[in-house]
Amino acid sequence: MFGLLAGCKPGGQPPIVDPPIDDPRVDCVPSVTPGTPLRLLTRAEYDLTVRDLLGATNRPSRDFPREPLAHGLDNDAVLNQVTGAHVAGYLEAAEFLAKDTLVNRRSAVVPCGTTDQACGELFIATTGLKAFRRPLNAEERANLNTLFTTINATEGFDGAIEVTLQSMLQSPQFLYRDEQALGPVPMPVVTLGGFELASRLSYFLWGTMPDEQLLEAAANGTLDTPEGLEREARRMLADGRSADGMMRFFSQWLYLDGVENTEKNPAVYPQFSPALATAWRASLELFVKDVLAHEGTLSALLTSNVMYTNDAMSMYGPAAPSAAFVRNEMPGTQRKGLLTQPGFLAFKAMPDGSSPVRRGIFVLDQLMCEVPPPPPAGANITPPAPSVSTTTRARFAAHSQSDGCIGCHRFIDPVGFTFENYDGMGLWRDTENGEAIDATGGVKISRDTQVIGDVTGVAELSAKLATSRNVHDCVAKEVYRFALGRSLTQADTCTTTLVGDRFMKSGGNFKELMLAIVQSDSFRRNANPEMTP
Amino acid sequence: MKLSRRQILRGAGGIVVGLPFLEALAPHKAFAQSMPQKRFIGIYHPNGVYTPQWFPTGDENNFTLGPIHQSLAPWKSKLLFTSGVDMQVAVSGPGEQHQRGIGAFLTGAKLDTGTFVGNDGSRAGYALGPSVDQTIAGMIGQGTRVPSLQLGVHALLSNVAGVVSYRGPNQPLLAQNDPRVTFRTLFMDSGMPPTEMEKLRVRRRSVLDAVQTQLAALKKSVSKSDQARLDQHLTLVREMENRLTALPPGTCQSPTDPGMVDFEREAEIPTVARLQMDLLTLALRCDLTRVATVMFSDAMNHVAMPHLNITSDIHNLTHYGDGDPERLKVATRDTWQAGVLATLLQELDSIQEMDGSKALDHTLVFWGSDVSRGNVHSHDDMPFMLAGGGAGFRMGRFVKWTNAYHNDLLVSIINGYGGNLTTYGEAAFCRGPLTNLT
Repeated sequence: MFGLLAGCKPGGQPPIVDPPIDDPRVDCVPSVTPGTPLRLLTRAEYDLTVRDLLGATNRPSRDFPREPLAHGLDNDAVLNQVTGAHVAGYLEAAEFLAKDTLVNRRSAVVPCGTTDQACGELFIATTGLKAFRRPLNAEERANLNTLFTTINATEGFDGAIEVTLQSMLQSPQFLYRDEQALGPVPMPVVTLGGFELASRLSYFLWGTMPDEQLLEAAANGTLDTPEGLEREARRMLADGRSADGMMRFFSQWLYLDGVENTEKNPAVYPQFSPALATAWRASLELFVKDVLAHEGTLSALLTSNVMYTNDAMSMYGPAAPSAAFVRNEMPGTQRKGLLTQPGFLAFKAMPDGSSPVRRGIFVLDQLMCEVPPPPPAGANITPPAPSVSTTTRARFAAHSQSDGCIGCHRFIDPVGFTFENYDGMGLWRDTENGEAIDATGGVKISRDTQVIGDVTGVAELSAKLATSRNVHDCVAKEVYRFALGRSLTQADTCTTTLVGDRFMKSGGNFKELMLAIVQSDSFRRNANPEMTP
Repeated sequence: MKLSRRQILRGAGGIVVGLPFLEALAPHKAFAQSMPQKRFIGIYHPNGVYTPQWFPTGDENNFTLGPIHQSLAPWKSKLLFTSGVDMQVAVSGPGEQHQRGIGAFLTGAKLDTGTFVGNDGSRAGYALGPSVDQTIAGMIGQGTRVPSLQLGVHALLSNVAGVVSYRGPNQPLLAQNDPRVTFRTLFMDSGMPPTEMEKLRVRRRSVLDAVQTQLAALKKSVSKSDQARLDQHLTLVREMENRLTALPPGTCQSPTDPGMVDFEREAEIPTVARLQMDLLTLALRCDLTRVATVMFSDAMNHVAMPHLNITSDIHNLTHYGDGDPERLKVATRDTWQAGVLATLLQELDSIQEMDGSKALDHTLVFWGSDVSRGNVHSHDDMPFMLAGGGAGFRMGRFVKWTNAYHNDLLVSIINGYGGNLTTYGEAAFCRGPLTNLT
């Protein structure tokens, strides 16, 4: 997973060396890993769920508390715990959604033309099945029937529907995904039942609740066989909603919220405006969606020559008449892949300049999973002051010469220097302060020897990364972590290796990666944490 | 494509909609209490301070405020500055210096080893809390509409560098940065006609009763650790039911809704600071809450403050040497921050308690940071300032210790609210309550 950068040991941490990339590693036996605890719906999941359940499209979770991120991902089950602010938010949202649904889309929840008790019970069974993502048990049904009957007596049928719906939307069976399949008799390892697996599938692949067909497959046992699971997963991956699921991962992996909130020093970049930052985000999002919709591979993500621009982004070259985005296929090598997108470059930069360090660390951390440790205590990590007489590269090169810094920076900076043709706005430049840009550099050390070597510019760097087994492993591991919603342990290593292998062999196809994860033991089964030593 | 909040806010002309000023309609007397109510406010200030202008000069009882604190001069007799208090617990462990520092500030704890990435342990998890504000909320916050508030002013990071309040280990409480949501949290339903309110209460009681029975039903089929989480959820639903069915304090009128503010933009920092602090002081006046933390940005703090003519990244400014003119901009920021606190102290000092004392006499404001000086990332000699009489400390002093532990200051604070602790957070960094405080 992580070959510690040799010689880069600030803080005195012992070096840990993973096996070289070409070791035969696919004969391991995957262990069934600890199950994920109850998973609270994230805000994004909540919004898509009520869209599919009730037809509500106004993002009612907007004011819920933010998720604490786990290395960038928002769906860590341990960290996502309910607070008082959640409970208040759920109440407000439920009241709004129930009323809004009854007024504007009554037929989405009321299943019959009558307004009698029988229709109320049918509503509880049908909407309950969708809201709880499984059939209600007798106790749950009785609870809701009691509530319905009580309110029906005082407020009438529609009032009772509204109140019962409010209650469903605040119930833990709706707010949490229960994927443990713990039976009355505790077992050390359990295979997930159809409904638990259906929830896992739909939230991973689509970011939302199961549709009717998936619930049907859960009910009739289709998901219990490997063939049935694969057939259903392939159906879901072929559906347009699978792009939503994948985009949820990429939004977090790329921290699109941060891209949108980027600010620049107006004295250095007078072209900057908040509207431009909004456009950067949209452009980057469209780029990723474009790759997913066309090639659908990691390689294309790193090398596609597509760039979306609108009128706010005309400084990047292609003319666009309006705020609507235009898809451009860019000639040459200036815009080739994710690492050359304006939004990415502007975000991974300083307010008043480029940043070889931030850009280099992104490549090492998020594409290679070979992040250097943080600077040691007492290290002066002041970036060199901007200058009007020299290049950023020269300033950083001098800066990183000190003893405390050189250990790591001799690996970070050469990667970051290949980005120097892009300024802090992500605009192309051939010179800086009158001096020619030197974009030579490259990866100096990695467990994957294939990516090591000198390159000039990001396009050459990206081309190397795009075919690296290690980069595929790294991204696969993050998607796997996203699928399971928990931090990984050593016990996951065999599974992530097998998944990475299938991802690589599929040509880096994201859908095949998702399928490989769905078919892994970790996804289909759980170790009971209370029975694991 | 989704319409972002910012697009809605900016409208077609790109002009930010003007915001109404909050009108302080609340009375100038505290909500009737036979005994003055204790309160606690923690203020987080990122990346240390400009120390040459922060620390007072002089001795314990006869000291001169540093340039940064001039706006606080009217309350000098109610301030306490520390010297020689080290945040030793943050010197080692997982994470880097800012992460360890912000995690330890109110918890006295180390960070968890965090997400497994490379076995190197360097990835910061969250602090192994709880934090003092949450402990104090457990002691004095019960029965209020919001037992504790976590507010932010451009504290946008959703990771360990963006949180000071913890309910428990790995249970971070992220700050709310949007004044509109703060307003709704505090003043939801206010202004509703009584008959309609009554109908709503009856409904909500039925709904939440049903939610509680569903929580109990689910509890039967989940693991023990999940049962504990559902119990926590159940407690929160019960608390909310109690709050919603209790009558709101009739003497407190709701202020005007602050409306949409572009709180993620640096240019709005002074507006957001004013709105958040105004809402906080109103909430304190009305006894809607007694405990709060306010974060002024996060420990990465890659922000500029255009309203102070600081156009570059403040985190980077804190790294310059003490003599560097660039670093003086940090003092400008610190001085602005002191001014924000001066307004808070003024408000608290204007709230009259039933016994004639002022709310400030029963409130402790604890102002601190993640490191003492950004340029060396030191956790020694932390710049802590305390204000008000909430913990029963003798104020109006500049107290000098030698290598005292900050954990012991946290112990003393808790004990000032009625606790009887000898340790708080990581016990290895506790020697017992700090001397010479009470």
